[in-house]
Amino acid sequence: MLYAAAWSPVYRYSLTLVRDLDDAADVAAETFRRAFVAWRAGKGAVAEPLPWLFLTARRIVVDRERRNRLVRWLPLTNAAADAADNPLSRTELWLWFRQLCEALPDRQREALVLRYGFDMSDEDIGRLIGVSPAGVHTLVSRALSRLRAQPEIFE
Amino acid sequence: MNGKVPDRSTGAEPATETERERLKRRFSEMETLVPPRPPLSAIARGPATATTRPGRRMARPLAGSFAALAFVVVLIATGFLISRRSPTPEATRPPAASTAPASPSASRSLEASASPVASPAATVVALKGEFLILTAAWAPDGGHVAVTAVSEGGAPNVTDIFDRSGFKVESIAADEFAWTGANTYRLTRGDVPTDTTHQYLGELGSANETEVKVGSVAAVSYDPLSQCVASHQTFDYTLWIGGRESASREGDALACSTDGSEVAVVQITSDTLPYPGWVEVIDAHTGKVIREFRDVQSSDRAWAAFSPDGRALAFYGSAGEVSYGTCIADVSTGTVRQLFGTSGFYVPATPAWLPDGRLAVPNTVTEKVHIFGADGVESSGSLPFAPNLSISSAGVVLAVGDLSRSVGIQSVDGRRSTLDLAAYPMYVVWSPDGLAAVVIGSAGTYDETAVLVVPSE
Repeated sequence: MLYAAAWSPVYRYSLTLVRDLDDAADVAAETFRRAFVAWRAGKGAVAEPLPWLFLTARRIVVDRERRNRLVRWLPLTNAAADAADNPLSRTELWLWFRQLCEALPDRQREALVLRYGFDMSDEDIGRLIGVSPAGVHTLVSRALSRLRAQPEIFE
Repeated sequence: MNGKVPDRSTGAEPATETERERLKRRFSEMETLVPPRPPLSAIARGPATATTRPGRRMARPLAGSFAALAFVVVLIATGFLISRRSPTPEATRPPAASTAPASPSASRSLEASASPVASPAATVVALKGEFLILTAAWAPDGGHVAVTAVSEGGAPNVTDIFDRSGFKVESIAADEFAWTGANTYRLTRGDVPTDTTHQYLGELGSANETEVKVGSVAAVSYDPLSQCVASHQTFDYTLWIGGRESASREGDALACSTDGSEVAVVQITSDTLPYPGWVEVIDAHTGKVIREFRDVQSSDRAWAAFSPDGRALAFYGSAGEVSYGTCIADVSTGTVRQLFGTSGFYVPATPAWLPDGRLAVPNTVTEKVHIFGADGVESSGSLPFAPNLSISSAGVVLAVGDLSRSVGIQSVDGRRSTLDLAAYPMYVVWSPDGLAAVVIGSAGTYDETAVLVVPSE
């Protein structure tokens, strides 16, 4: 059940990239659609699919951003909607995520999530986002030093 | 940070145990934000809902439990559904070399006002299809173009060098590649066992290489006149003039003036939110700051570009307005103007300077291109719309970043047409004379493709 195991990481990674719950569902769904096409054609990674799925998701996001298709919404819209039908902790978590997004530029946020959210190595992250391992190290260090200016994020 | 050589180690401490643990805990808690998986059958039904509507609510799960079907069974069902959809566009490989007489047929990337009588034809040659195309770089004399790509499976990056007709003359293993002259180049190659990166100088047609320095560089900008190469290690830029290192700067984006004498660096600081920063112009030879624009806010989408005469600098940011937009700064006087009507889009389109010194700013809401003088005053003019315009120094306009697998082209005399690329064009690298371009496109799921476009006279 590759799909079952990979859905959550792919969704969370997509969320990191697009910062919108619905957009992330779109991207994750499209990622798996492409993955199934690839797997069926005998292509694509099967043994260790996550980096490959991440790369696919990333390219979907980059593609759509470049084609200007991603509509982004104000954070409070989502938070308010969540607050209506979700337990408090989920809303709080969402607000924390929004705060993280506000604090960090895209590349830094992505590197940080891949490092600490998915325990990926500098090499793997670098291969995914297209910078050298040293570049990844710099991104993560920069992200951390930025976050230290807002200690509440570490709470 | 100003005027000083930056600390290349970034100065930041590694994460402490507590920080790491707390971040990890938060990230794992984000599991609760994950919605149920949509049923596989919904996903396999294809891109109709996923990609043709603008990103809202495509795959809300009908019933998450569907996904509990055995994987094999579902794959068979998936295969059945897909096989019923006749040929998937994703499977299309980059096109073979072809000469495409441009068709004047309507494209949504071209304004209706265009009425091409005789379309400008162009030669379109597919150079390379690869997992990820990193860079395309023209030699300073425009005689060759180097395309660096990452292949799937962790093989070393390869730089292929093509002549102007698209013929491959050389293939070099290189992680990063930058020209230093018409026939000479600088490249880096990683050594995995020792985890070091080595930098070499080489020459076209010669197998000899000289190792010059340990450390990672990648060209982000090259000026043919002064031979100013700006290389960077993520955020630290090193400027090379005539093959010698002249200055180092830390910054988040960088632009080189056309004569290579000045470099603009966009700085983002983390003191307060959101992304305040400043833009500075430095002398490329000495590294000294010539002009600082302190009253602006740069966004995390750092971008800057000099006007052709080098007197004005356009950048994305905010000059006292609430929202970000395109700004034009006068380098000699230090005045900054935020252009009216360019604010408020989260994903802004990329402006481009015209050879006559005016700035073309695509507006993705009105789907028009607004043209501003360097004084910030809007003037009339008509260009094909696309989220990204790329305008060469010779005045040829390529409209890219639209939804079609084609690129709009407007020749110097104003004629327009559409070129089929069989790939979604993403960005454009012009030759120094502005008469040839390499368009990097996304060719589908697996590959990106580099296509040489040479508009005919």
